[in-house]
Amino acid sequence: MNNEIKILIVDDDLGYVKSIRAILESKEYTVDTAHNGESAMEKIKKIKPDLILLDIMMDRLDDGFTICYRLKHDPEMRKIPILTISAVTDKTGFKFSPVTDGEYFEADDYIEKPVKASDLLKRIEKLLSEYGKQEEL
Amino acid sequence: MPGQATILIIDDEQAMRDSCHQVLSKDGYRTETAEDGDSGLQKIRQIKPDLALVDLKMPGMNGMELLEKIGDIDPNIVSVVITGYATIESAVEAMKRNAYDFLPKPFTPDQLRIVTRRGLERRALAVEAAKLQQEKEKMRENFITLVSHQLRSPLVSIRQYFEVILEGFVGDVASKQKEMIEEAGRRIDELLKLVNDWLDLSHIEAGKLVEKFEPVALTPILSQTVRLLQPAAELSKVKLQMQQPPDSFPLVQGNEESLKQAFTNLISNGINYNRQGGTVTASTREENNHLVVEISDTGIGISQENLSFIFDEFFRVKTKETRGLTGSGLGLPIAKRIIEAHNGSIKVVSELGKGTTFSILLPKAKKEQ
Repeated sequence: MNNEIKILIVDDDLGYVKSIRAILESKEYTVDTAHNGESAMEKIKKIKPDLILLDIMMDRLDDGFTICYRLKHDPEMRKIPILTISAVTDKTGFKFSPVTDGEYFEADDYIEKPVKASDLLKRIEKLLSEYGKQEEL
Repeated sequence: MPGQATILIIDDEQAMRDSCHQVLSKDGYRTETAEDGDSGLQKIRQIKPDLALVDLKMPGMNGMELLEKIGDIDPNIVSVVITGYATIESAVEAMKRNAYDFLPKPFTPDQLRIVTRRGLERRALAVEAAKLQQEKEKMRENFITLVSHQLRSPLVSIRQYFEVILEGFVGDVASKQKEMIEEAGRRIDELLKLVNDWLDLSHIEAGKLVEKFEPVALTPILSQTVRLLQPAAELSKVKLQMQQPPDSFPLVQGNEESLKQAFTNLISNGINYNRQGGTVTASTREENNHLVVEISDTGIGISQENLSFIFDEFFRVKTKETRGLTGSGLGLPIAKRIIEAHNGSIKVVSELGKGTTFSILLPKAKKEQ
């Protein structure tokens, strides 16, 4: 069932991607990856993932912000749920929380690295089911 | 280019305004005039001059008051006093109020030119310095962000691998191996905490805290902290208690999260550097214009020679009793900087083998106007 669901991991840390991939594949999600802003945008257009795990700081400090902004301002792609997954905390001076800074940063959920595997999987399931419901309406 | 500088002449005498205007505009400066303090201030706000010539004796708002208000609007506007009542006293008074130079009337066109040129040089330097300061701040902030990210990323990545291994996503792990990976994970967590602490410190230093100040009630913050640390105290078999102060307790001007952090660091130390069956007591009281938070423990105490170093970054007391304890050595420095950012102070009294008492003094918030 899950292998029909495509999840795109966007992160420049290859080691990190590998460990997240292991978690996702344990639930048989189909996993694809991109490692910088440019290739992420191309891949998103090409494979149309069902969900995106998005890192914030890649080649540039704000790659993740840019991707998120572009996706959420595109009539088609705004329907793809974005789960931000980053080591950036509010201590680094960035705004990111969808709860407090939703207007500025429109990700659907945020999770801080390192993640608990069970927590990550739960959040993914929740986002998928929420977005699935919207689609049916 | 002198032609680009704007000079505002504030004087109630028409003749004075006209002659200054004539001299300065002939030299290529843009000049504006105002005939009293109020319209002068209005023009200051509108045209943002580089330099203001200010008469001291004017009807309405006098020159001294005007100087102060100009400084409030923009401290980098250079004010030069022009006055017919030049005394040492008035000169000193004007300098104290941010005047850069003092020109007694009557003066010659050349004297006016020299003073103006000097004032504008000063202005150019001040503007340049402000710009550099801003750039420096920006670089510093970017630096903090980058370094913290570079430090955290590999640690986070290692931690994630451990999680994946421990949760069995890549095959079964024997219990001995599991134990060791778990221990390695704890060490990585310590390192992550160290990076976080260091970030906190950098943020307080960058003055980020003050931006978030508001009137807050101290006692609830302290009792929440005590409640949060109760499980840790139980684990160490230490009794953690709070003495309730009277109901009406004045507010302080501050940031709740950071105060919580300062109290957490102090109380955690009280718990960690304690003995089984020991106690930690938190209390608040009023003292003149201050509120005092006291955190007192019956723990192992700190020797006199170590006492002077405990607020130093990365300092840790190394004795037989502290051998099993881990920490970043940043807890107390962070607490101290947080309190100092609140215009408060922190004092410590300790006796080896008996215990330690930290007293935090915070100024009361001014009553709402």
